[in-house]
Amino acid sequence: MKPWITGLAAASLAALPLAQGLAQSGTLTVGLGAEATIMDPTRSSAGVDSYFFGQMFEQLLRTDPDLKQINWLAESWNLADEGGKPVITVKIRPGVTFHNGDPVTSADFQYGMQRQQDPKLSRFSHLLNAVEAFEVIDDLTFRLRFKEGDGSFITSNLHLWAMPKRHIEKVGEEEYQRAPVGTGPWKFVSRTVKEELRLEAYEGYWNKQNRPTVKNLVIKIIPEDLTRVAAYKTGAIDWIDAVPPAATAEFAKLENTSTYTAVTGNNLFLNFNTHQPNSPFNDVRVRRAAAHAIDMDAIIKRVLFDQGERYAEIGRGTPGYDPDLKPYPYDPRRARALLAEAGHPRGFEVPCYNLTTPREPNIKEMGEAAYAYLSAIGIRCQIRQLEYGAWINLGRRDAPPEMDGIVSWMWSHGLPGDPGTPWLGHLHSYQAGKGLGSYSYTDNAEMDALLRQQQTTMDPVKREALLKQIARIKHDQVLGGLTTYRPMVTIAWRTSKVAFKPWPSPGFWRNFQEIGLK
Amino acid sequence: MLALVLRRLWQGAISILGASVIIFVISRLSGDPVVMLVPPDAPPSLIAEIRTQYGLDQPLVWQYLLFIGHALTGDFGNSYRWQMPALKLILDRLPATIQLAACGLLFSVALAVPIGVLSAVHRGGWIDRIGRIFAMLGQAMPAFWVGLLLILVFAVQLNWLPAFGHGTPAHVVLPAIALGWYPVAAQTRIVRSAMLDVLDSDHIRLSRALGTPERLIVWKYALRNAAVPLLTMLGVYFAAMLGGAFVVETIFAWPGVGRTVVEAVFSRDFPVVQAGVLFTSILFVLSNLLVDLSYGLVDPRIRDVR
Amino acid sequence: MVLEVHNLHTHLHLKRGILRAVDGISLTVGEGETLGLVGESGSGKTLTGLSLLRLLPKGSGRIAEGSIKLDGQELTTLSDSAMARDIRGRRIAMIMQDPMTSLNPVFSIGDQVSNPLRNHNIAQGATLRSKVISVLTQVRIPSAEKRLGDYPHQFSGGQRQRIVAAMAIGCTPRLLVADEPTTALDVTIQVQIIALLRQIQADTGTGIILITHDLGVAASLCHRIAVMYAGRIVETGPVRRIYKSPAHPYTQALLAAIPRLGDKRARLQAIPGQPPSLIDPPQGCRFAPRCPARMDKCAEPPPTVTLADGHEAACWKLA
Repeated sequence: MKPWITGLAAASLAALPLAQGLAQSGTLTVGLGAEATIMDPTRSSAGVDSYFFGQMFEQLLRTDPDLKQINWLAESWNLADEGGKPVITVKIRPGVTFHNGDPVTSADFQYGMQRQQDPKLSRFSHLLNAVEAFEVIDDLTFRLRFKEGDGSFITSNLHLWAMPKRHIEKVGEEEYQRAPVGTGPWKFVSRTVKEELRLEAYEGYWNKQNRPTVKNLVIKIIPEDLTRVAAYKTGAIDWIDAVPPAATAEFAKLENTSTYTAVTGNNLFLNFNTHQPNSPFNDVRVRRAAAHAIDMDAIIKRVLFDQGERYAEIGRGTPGYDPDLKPYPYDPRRARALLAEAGHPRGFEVPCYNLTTPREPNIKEMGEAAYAYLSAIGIRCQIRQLEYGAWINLGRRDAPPEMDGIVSWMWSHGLPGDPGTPWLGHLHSYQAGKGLGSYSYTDNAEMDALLRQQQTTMDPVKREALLKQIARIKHDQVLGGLTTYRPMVTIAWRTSKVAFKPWPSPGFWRNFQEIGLK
Repeated sequence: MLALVLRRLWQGAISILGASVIIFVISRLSGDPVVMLVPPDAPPSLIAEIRTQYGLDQPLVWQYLLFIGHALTGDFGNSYRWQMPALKLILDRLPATIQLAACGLLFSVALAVPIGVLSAVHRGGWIDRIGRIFAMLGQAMPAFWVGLLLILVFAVQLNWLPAFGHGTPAHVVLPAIALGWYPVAAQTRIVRSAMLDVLDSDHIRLSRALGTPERLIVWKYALRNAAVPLLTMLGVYFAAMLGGAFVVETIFAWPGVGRTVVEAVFSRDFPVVQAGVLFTSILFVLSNLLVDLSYGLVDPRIRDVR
Repeated sequence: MVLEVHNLHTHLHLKRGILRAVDGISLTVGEGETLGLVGESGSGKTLTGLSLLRLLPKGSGRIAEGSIKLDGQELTTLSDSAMARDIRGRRIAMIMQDPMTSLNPVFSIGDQVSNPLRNHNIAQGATLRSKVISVLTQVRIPSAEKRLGDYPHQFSGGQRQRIVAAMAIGCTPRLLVADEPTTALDVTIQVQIIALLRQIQADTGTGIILITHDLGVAASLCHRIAVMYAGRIVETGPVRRIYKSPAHPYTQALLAAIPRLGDKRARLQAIPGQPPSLIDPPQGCRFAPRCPARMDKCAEPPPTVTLADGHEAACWKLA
């Protein structure tokens, strides 16, 4: 390379951190397809809420763009054993401040944890059951004492959020909900329900390497797919969320547009009524027949326009992922043979419940396609379409109605997430009143034991092995449902105008950690 | 006049009360809202806790009485999903809703009256025929299709108007057209038939016999007679647009009550459903009252009949 | 002569053919004179009145032939807008049959009475208001000033007819066409309206064409009478003469058909038969098929015979 070019390159590289440190100006308008109802991470219950709070709040650990867990607000942490009980010691990164200028201390994390444990505020209090005590060592050090191991604690980025204790106590709950304050790269400016969220880049943000390079961010909420696309095409927004699957091909060819497609962290599967004694699905051959019957690749390609990734039990990037575990191959002849072997040479009728509410794109059509494949080999589906509320009620074991056939279901592992908690919900046997197997039709003692074990194993290496073991058995016996695919989302932005680096969470890729105007 | 207003308000209050009971019962029959508010792995203890928090474990009648008691003081409870006062959620959307409904109605009237009048005056002529086709198109094209078409043409292709959102007068144009499109057919027919009736009447013939210019005869003397049946229909449509513009509101990302209530229904957000239905009922009653009063303005015979 | 109609032919172009509703009539109305146009329904008398104002049914009605002269000015050649501007409501006015439907229910009487005055630029503003009050007073509407904002439904039938009259005479027309003005009213009110018309004529010298099928009403108001049958005028003459010595068999039959107090007849004396179809009317005398005095000659169009001063009839018997 010519010397002067190298010099120029060096100079611009040197200028980069400087540019990132300067107060930026300008406004960027983006369009999301759904909005949060709650902006406080300790009070939220819906995944979609992270679209908003994910810009303003941060945790101790984080998943980076390569789906690796990295230290975030924690400078360092370690897991130890004290008398058979796990202890996690955390050192908070110095220099982190809230949007109002207050420094982040251990007391703030303790306060946040208390909020998360309070069932009057939080819907996830049960996830912190294993934490016995929060010990403040000093302003930047604290210790979490567990009464027993909690396998998903670490993979959940240690659960805790930095919440501004002094500020919330000063302004009160109602005002705080109206105008949240966190440590994130974006500061709250204003919010108009059903219209928009306005944010401003936080000048005192701690991370100088990965931060926004535009001053103002306007997030517009446009629920109708085609309108959102129109908004992008007319230039009303320069960054668009959730390009409808049918339009992804067009967007790939659109001029001055960059696209990014990635798995969003939801896991879909079909579950069978193996809890009912007369169910044909109690025979593993029938379950395997169903597994071979569906050409999931074709469905992903044609019905989902390639916006999906097949997975066998655990998806790529999630702890426990086994590259050697392959999804059941599409083999309708084998499926029919298995059915005949199991005593159903002429097949059988079965009610097949399909979710119509588009919590994932084209999920209704996907279900119908899968059920059509089943029907083709003899598992003749009588499709019953359900909207979200009715579907949830059907799935629950603790209340009528009874699920008496096949149901198209989903349970997010997260991104990269963890299968532990979902499996305790739909793979572990149903234990009334204990919060186990609430949506499960499986009753397998071996599974139950292994699941309980992974639940209390905190050592990541040991736990990974357990998860792989469970996955193999689950896959071989088709227990707890037949895994189908993980949905993908495509986002797009104007290449000449927007500089964007996708971060997976919080927000399932709807995250503006690193975004700016060129 | 006062007696009329009071009587209508009293009748309205009874309708509203009835609607609130029906909605209260039906929504609670539709399913369990708590299960939808918690993550799937929530333990039964948490679900029970939230159910108690929201009073959903009480007998239905008691729940209703509590609701009515609080509602009379303006407290409709907090939205299960938004955790902010349900009433505020609805009231904040009211101005935008009224704006859209009024503009939609204005648009439909602005089309229906001229087309209807001209169709009647030139009965059988080309205007009449085109008017009928136009009205039929209006009924054949559903609001969501019209909306998307308008966005495609006027926003994307021509870039004359914004594709979505709310704020400037330009923002209300396309949604108002999408909303007002469908009623045009029925309104045109009403205007046309009412005008044909009136134009045939003795007093119009007398007016003509006394040399009144045709323009005045049609647009002043005949039209005001045709107004009464049109007003009735407008009242119904206005009320429908206030509460039922869900499709148009979603397509244009218009922050209206229709969308808020429908989304609340899907997520079993009872307080919002109740507040929304209540407000829509009130608006319905008020708009009917307005129509009734306007009859008196337009047709003096009605003023004295009470 | 205020009005001179000569050989007027008005046709209605219907799908089933051309209806010759007015088939060659001639009449005159003088200053301050009331001419009664008498005949049964379907005789063409209303259409004659409408022809004067050129208010025939749009599209189907047409003046096929003839002349209509108002104060010497030919009306059949005027454009429709000229008719509306200069003639209708200004120099020829109309009063219609049913006062209950003749007034626009949603406009005040003040507005409706001032309308012709405004349209024909007779008065504006304050002058207009006082003119309206004066003309309403003229037609004997009490407290006219207070009632300008009132609506038609607040008046009785008789009062409404007066208001219609007020609208008609506001611009002091030369000719008033009153189409069955008393038919829809009860007898006591009829008398009032007739008196009103007489009053108006005395005050303004306007000519009146009174279209009616009621011979009694015609007798009380008219100076002269023209009897119409099947689109033609069969007899014209001073009212006394027509009643005392009707010359045409149709007129005689009409008068004979009126029941008289004290009559001891068991049955009403109706005229047998029906009027002929006007799409394809008979060539000769139209009454011939029903005429008791029918002759062979009647197959030819009868001549108009002058019997006395101003008394004519079209009948072969008189020739």
